[in-house]
Amino acid sequence: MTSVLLQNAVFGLLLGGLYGLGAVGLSLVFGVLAVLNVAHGELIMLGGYVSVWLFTLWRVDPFVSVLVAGPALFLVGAVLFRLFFRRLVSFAEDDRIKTSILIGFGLALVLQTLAILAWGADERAVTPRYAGMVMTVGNVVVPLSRLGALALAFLVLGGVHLFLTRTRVGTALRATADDEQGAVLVGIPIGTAYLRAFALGSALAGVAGALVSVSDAVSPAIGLHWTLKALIVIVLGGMGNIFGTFVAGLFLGLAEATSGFLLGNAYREVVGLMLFLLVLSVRPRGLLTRS
Amino acid sequence: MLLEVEGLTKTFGGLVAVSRVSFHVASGEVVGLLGPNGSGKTTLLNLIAGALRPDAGQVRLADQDITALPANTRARLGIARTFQLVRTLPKLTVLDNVLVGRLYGHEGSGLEAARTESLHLLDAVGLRDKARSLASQLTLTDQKRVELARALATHPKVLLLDEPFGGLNPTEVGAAVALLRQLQTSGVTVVLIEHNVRAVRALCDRLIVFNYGQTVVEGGPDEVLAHPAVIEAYLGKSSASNLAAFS
Amino acid sequence: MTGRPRAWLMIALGLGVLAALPLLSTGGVLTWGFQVLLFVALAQSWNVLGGFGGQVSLGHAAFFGLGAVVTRMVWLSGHPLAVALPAGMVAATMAGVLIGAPTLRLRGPYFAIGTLAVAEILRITVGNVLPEVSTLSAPALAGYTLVPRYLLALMAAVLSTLVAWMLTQTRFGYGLAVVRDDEAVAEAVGVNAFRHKLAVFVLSSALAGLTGGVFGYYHVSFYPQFAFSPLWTFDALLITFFGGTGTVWGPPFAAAVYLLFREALALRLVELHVLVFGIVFVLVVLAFPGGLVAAWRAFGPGRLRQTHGS
Repeated sequence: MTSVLLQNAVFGLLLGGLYGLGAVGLSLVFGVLAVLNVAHGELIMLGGYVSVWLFTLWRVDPFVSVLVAGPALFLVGAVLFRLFFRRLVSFAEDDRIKTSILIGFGLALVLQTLAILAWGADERAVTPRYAGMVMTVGNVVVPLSRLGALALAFLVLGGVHLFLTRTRVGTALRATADDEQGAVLVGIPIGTAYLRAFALGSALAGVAGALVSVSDAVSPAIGLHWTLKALIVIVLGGMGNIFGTFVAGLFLGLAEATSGFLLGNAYREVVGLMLFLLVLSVRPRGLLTRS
Repeated sequence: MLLEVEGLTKTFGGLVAVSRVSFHVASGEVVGLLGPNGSGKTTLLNLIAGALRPDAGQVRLADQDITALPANTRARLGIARTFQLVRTLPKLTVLDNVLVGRLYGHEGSGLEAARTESLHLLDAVGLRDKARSLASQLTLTDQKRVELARALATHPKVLLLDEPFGGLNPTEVGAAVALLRQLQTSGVTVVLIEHNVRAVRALCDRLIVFNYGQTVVEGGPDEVLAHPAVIEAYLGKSSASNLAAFS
Repeated sequence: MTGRPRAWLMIALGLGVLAALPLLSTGGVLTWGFQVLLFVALAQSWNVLGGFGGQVSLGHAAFFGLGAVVTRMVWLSGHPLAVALPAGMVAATMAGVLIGAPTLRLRGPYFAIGTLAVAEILRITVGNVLPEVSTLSAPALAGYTLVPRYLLALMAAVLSTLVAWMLTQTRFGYGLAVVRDDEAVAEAVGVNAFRHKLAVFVLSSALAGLTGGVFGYYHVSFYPQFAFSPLWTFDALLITFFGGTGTVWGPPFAAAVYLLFREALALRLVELHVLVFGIVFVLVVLAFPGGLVAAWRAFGPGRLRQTHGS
């Protein structure tokens, strides 16, 4: 009995790490720009497709595809920002968030539809040779590919943390997130900061998507699913701290696994959404405070 | 006493904005609230109007304790207010702006009756000919008149005005004072926050001066405006001795 | 006003034509007509809350879905439509009260994603509880006629448009407009903002439930979960924004255009209309940042009359 629970928990944590990675991109964009890009999940989906196609066409290992998905989605993010979100930065914060939700909603559907038109609605999977390999710890089976994905996610986040704290560009981004007016006054080029943050957030989505493809199927429909996960994680984990978001992701994964164990798999998703609503009702701003 | 405020206190984080403020306003009086920026006047107004809840203290309207009542209930009971930065409803017409006040204020009227009365009110503030214009198209003075008419449309017992003369040039101030004087004669009770000394002298029966969230001095205009503590609050210690600076 | 009686005449004529459509045309046109009317009702039900009320809800599908599934289940278990349709509406209305009261305490953006979360919870739960497709039995199929469905859709469209129009004519509508434009001012003049928001939320859910019920009665077979899909919410938003949030006649017009495009584009690629309208939606939201109502007012002084009747 306990070993089943433990098994579930391990799977939950492994998935949760990806939840965390998926959320960090969204959190970065929201923190720096006060824009809630609800099309974030579609960007994750696109990252997944990069991996799927690289594998299908040239048998490229998904872990290697990460190196392509990241930069590719960085560019996509930059274009999307230029086209759709740049105009928002002249709005007041509340309007900005509200309008970005609408734009994101529309973009999400457009991107999802483009994916369906381009690649069909079916699920696709990546099946590298090591797909079935596992590590056994006691009674618990740990799929190596998922473990590898978690490890890479952790590394990527570490890299992002270093970027944000040790580089000039990264520090400029944090300054903008902290106090926009102050950043302007100090001479930080806000427009560039926004572009970079949005592109970086999108790149992180791409990486997350590629890592998702390691163990899960990819289809146009996964976009909304991942957007909701990301929203739940950032509301649970609060703003600012990257590792806090990562931990919140792990927590969500664990919570889902436990409820799946207790209530049956069909209701896994519901627990996350309920937690989300619970946090929102206790703190109507959620934990999404920008200050 | 129509309006009584007792021991009102409001803190924001570590900052005490209003500290144990108490005063009374009799029916028909025009009381002015003065004080340097940041002395807590607008917070006090918000506490009386119900936009903010106090941490301690009581607000009573005609002997009824209204401290726990939300802003919209207080408005229906007879407390009307204007805002420091004028807040008309820019997408609605001038008439509609005032109309809402009559529909929802004290003993709200039906649509037709409200419309008729709103037009009368616009007459009284001199905006009848602009009734169908959008509020966003008006000048600042006119927007302030709309706000006033809207407040009056609620049939208030007490009118709280937050810097009604702010941003107006001397001519406009003169016209506004005349308008408020007319109001005075109809017996409306007014509490107003204002910096403009001339206007305050012309309109107020009584002045209360604030600093750092507390009352400093209370009394008639001449007496208060010459009071050293008041001069000190505005101009600093060294000017306190120069009484002439304030006349 | 000389314009007024003429406007009423035109509306009456229009309704007459719509009502007589079953007599005048074939199944293809009638089906298209049904769809337009369904989408008019769907859009107006959202418009009432999001346009007139200013509360952007992303969970609208929850109420459409409840109406659809409850009506379907009550009808298929042997009760007449006259019982099933109101049952669906009641279910949606009750949900409106239960969901509206807590979510309306959330500020704008959080209200939007909060309602989205609620709708998703419902969709997933329904998908688990009722995973099988709901199909009409052979006798029901044999007795299936389009005309009553068409007329029901007409009724839903007329009712929801009427409600939208009433919001421009009544005291409640004025209060709502103030709450939408500036909540602090609303409170200051005696408008209980929360009550107004909740009332319009419930009203919107009821209308969505009715529309869903009509859908549930119309479709030969569908997965219950499908009625809760966010695509329904998106369609409602899309059509309303395109037509003009907070206007009475914008959404109906937009619904007709939308479905015209859908028919035309579907001949080439099934999903193309989502693409086109999705992009149009984003562009519209971007182009009129101050609020679409302002934009439509700016473009059409005649339309000004429609939003407030003074």
